[in-house]
Amino acid sequence: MRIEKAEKQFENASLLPEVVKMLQEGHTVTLRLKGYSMRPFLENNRDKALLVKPTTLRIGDPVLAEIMPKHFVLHRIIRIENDDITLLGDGNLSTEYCKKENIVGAVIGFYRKGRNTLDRTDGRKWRIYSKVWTALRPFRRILLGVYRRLWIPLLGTI
Amino acid sequence: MKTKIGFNLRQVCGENIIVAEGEENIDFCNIISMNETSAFLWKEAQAMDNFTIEDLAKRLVGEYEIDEATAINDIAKLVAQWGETGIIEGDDIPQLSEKSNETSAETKANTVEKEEPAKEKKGFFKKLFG
Repeated sequence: MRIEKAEKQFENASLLPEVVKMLQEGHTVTLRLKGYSMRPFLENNRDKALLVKPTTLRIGDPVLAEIMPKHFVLHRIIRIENDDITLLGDGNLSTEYCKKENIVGAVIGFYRKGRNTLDRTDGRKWRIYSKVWTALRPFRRILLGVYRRLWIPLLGTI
Repeated sequence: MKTKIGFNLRQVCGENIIVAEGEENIDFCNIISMNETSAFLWKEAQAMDNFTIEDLAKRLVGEYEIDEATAINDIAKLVAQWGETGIIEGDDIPQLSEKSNETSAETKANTVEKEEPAKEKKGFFKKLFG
C-alpha cells in the first residue's frame, strides 16, 4: 500500500477533460504546460498557465482549444471569421483550425520559470512580447531555428 | 490528525488522484495519485473529523482481509507519506521511519522557504522591457 509521490506526470490528454469540466463549472485552473509550441515565451514542463472559462475571444489571445477530439493545444488566435478560428502557436510555423465552441479555456496569465508571480496576459510584458513576436512572423523560421540550435545551447532558454 | 480541506479525490482515466482545490482555483500542476486502498482510506479519513492510525486500521480490517497488526504498520507508513506530501495536518503525524529527525527538520525548513516569495533574478523580458 503506497501512495505514489506527488508530482507524478500525467499526460495532459487524460487530465484535460477534467480541466475543461472544472473551467466550465466556473473555477480557474492552473496547468503545467507541455510541448514547445509556444516558444520562445513558454517552455515545455517549466511553465504553468492560469486558465479561466473563455468569454470574448479576440485576435492575439492565447487559448486552450480542442482542435480534434481529445487533442488539446494552447495556441494564439490569429484569425476569427464567424465561428471559424485560426490558431497559431508562437513556436509553430503552421496554423490550426477549430470552431468557436472548441475554445475551452482563456489564459489569465502564465507562471514562468517556477516563479510565483503571474505574467498576466493583460500586462505590459505579455502585450509587448506579443506585439514584437507577432510582427516578426515572416522571420519566424529563422528565429526559432537560431533560438533552438544556438541560443538555448549557449545561453539557455529565455 | 485531520485531512486538509480542499484535497478531494477525483477519478481521471480510472485513476484516483488528488488535486489541490482552492476556493476558486484548482491546481493541476501537482497531482497525487492514490491506489485503491489509499483512496479508500483517504475517503474514510476525510469523513472523520479527527483520525488516528488505529481508526483507519479498523476500517481497513473491516473492508479488506488483513490482520490488524499489518494494517497498523502499513497505515503508519501511508499516513507518514501523507504528512510529507502536506495533505494532512496535526501533531501526531508519524515520521517516515527511515528518516532521522534531522532530515525531517531540514525538509520542514525547505518547505517554509518555498512559501516565502523567492528573490527573483531579473528575467530576460524584464531586462528587455523594463
